[in-house]
Amino acid sequence: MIKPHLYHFSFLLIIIASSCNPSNHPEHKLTDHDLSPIELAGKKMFEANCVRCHGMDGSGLTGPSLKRPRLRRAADINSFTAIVQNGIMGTGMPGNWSITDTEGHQLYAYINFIKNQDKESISGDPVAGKLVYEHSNCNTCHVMQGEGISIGPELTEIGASRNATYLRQAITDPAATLPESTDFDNGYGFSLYLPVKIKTLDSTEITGLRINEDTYTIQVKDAMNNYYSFYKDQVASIEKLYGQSIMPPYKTKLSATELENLVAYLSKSGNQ
Amino acid sequence: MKRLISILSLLNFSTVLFSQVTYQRIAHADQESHNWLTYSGNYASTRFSDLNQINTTNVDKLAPIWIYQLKSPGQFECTPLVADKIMYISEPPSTVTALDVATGRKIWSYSPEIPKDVKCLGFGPVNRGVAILDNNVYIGTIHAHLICLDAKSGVVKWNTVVADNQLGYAITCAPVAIDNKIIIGISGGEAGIRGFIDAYDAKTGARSWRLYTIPGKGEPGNDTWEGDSWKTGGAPTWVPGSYDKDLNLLYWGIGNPGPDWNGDHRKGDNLYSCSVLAINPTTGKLAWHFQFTPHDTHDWDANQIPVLLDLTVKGVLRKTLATANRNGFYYLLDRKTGEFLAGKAYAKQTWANGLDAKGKPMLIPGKEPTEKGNLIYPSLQGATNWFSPSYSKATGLFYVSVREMGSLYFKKEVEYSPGQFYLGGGEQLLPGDNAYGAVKALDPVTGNIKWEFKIQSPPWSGLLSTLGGLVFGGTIEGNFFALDAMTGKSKWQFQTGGQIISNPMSFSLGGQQRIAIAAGNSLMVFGLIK
Repeated sequence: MIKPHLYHFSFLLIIIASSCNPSNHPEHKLTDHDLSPIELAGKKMFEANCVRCHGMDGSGLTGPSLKRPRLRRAADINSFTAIVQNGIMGTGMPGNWSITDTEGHQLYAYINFIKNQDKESISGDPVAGKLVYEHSNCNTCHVMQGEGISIGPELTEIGASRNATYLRQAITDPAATLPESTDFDNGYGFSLYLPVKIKTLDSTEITGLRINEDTYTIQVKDAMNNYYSFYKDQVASIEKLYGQSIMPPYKTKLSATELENLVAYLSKSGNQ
Repeated sequence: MKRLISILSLLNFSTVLFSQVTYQRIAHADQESHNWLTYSGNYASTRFSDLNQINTTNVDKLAPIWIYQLKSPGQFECTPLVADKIMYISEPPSTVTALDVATGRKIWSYSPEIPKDVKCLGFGPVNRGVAILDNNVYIGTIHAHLICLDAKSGVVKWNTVVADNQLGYAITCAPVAIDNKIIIGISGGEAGIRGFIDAYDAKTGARSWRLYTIPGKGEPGNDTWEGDSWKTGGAPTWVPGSYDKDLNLLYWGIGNPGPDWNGDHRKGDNLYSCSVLAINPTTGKLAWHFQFTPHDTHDWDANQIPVLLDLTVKGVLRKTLATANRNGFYYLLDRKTGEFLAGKAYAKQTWANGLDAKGKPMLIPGKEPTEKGNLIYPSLQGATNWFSPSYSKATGLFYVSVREMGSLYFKKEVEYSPGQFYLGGGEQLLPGDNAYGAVKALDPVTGNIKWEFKIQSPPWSGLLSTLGGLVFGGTIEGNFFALDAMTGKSKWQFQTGGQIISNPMSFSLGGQQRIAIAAGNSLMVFGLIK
C-alpha cells in the first residue's frame, strides 16, 4: 500500500494541515499468490505503465480511479484494449502501440481483479447530496448538467475521474487538491486553477486562475470569468499563490452528513 | 565531337564525385557549414554552426520559411541532415524522407515493413536521424535492422538484421558513418538485453565487429557482475557517439544496468554500464573506459553525447571529452587516456557529496530506491538526457538543457523473462509545479555555471550554438527560442504549437542561413524575412 504515503508526500509539498489523511481504506496486503497467471502478467504491465497516473493500487492519482464497477470508456475487453493501445485524445491517456492484444487482455484481467479490492465505501445519500449542492451555491462557480458558471471545473462527470477520497478533500480543503493537468499543451503536469496575481506595467492588479503558461507567456481568467493573456516580459510582476485556492473550504460549512451526501452525489455524477 | 563528349563525361563524372558525401567531407564538416553532414554537425559533436547571417542583431526577424508535416502519428525526434541541397530526415517509427531544402517538397520516402508485434520496451517508436556516406543514407529501425538506401532514390541497397527485436532489441539511434564503416547503437535496456556497439561495412552491410558493453565470462570487468546477471544487464547504446580521427578513437556513452531500480542481484560496479567507452573503430577493441555511476539503481545512463574539445587545462592544451551526465554532474576527461580532469554538479542532486579525485561519486547513504518510494534528485529522466548539448568555439562555453526535478524511486522484485520489461521498480514524479527546466552555460574547464536561462518545464530539446552568437533551444510547451550565447538573455521566440522533443540544426542555401527544428508533428525551417 504505497498510495497513502504518496498522498502525504504531495501534501507536504504544498504545505497543508497534516490532519487530512485522505486514506480511509483498511490495509489489505495483496500478494501475487492471490492472482491467476494472466492477472499476474497484467499486474506487471500495470506497474510498469499505469501507476504514474492511476496509482499503485489503481485508485487514481492524476488519472481516474479504476476501482469502479464499469469503466466509462472501456466497458468491454475490446474497447479496453483499444484504449490502452491508442490512448484517448484530449486526455492524459497516452497510446502504447507496442502493447499487443494479448497483453491488453492480461491488463484487463488484472484491472477487473483490483476493482473489487479495497472498494471505497460511500455512505452518503446522493439525492440528499444534490440538495446540499444546490443550497451551498456550488453553481456560482461550477457547471453541473449545463447549469452554473464555469469558473472552477465542470462537475457533470466528476465521479468518472475522481474517487470519493479526492472529492471529500476537494470540498473540505480545496487548496490541497488542485488537480494536475494532463494536457500536453499545459506543459509538465502543472496544477490547474492556481491563483496568480499579476501586476501590469501601469500598476493594474489582476488576480486570476492560471489557464496556461509557458516560458514566455501566461493566460489567466479572473473571478468574473474574464480572460487575460500576458507576455511575461511585459508585466511588472507575477505572483503564483501556491497552497491557495479561490474556492472557500467547506470544512466548517457542512455537517459530516451533508459532506458525505455531497460526496455521494458527486461520485455518482458521470459514474452511473 | 569526341573531345566534347569526353568533356561532358568529365563534367558528369565531376558532378557525381562532388555529390558524394565522402568520409573526408564529414571529417572536415567545418569547411562546409552550409551543410549538416552528421547527427551532431561534426565528429566532435559540438552542434555548433559556423554560420552567422542570423545573429544577435537580426534574430528578431526570424520566421518560418517552410514546414513539413509528418504523414503518420508519432513523436518526431529527428535531427535532419543536409547535403548538397537535399535534406534527409527520419520520421517515426523508421521512415526516411528526402526533402528539397529550398521548398520542403518531398523527393522520395522509404518505409520499412515493421511487424505488428514489434517490441519497444521502455521507449516510444521513435527515430533520431540518419547517417549519410558516399551515395548512401543509413537508418537503424525500430525492429533492429540497419538499412542502406540509395541517396538519390531511397531504393534499398542492403538490409541487415542487427539483433532480435523479440528479445527487446531495437534501434532509435542515428548511425555514425566513418571511413567505410557504419557504427550503430542499440536500445532495449529495460528488457534485459546485453548491450553492444556494432560496426558494419558501409558498402556490403557485413558486420565488421561487435563490442559488447558488458564483458563476457573470462573478460576483464565480468567480475563486476554478480553470478549470471551480466547476461541480462542492459547497458544499451541508444544515442550516437563522437569520433576523433587523429586518435582514431570512437567515444560512446553507455546505458544503465538492468534491472533498472533493483540492484540486489547484480552486486558490483556493473561495467561498462553508465560509462563512456573509447573504442578503436578499426578493430572494435576497447582503448579505455570511465564509469560515471558505478552500480546505478536510478536509470542514470551515460548515453549523453560526449563532446570532444581541445582545451587548456591548468596551462596545458589537452585533448578532452566533456559531458553533462544524466546523474547531475558535469565531467571533463582526457580523451587519450580517460583520466578524470574535473567535475561538478550542474543541477540539483541529492545522492552524492560531490566527486572524489578520480571522479567517482562520494555516495550519500540511503539514496537507493525503496519499496515505499525514496525522494531523490535528479528524477529518473535525469538532469539531462539524450537531447544534445552544444559547445561554441566563439564563446568557449558548453551549453546544456537541464531538467530540475526529483522523483520517488520505487524498488520491486523482478524476474527476467525474454522480451518482457525487466525494471525492478519505477518512479513517481513530484507534482509538475515542483519542477522546472533551464539552459545552462558552463565553463567547460571547471564546470562552473556562467549563466542560466530558466524555462517553464523540464525540457526535451537539445541545443545549437552558432557563430552568430546565439543558442537555439526549445520547450515542451512549444517555444522555439534563441538566447544570447554570452549572456543567456532571450533574443527571440516562436510558439510552434507542438512539443519540442528534438535537436536544432542549421544550414544555408544561396547564402541564406536556415535553422531547423522538429516540433510536434512538423519540421519547421526558419530564416530571416526580407
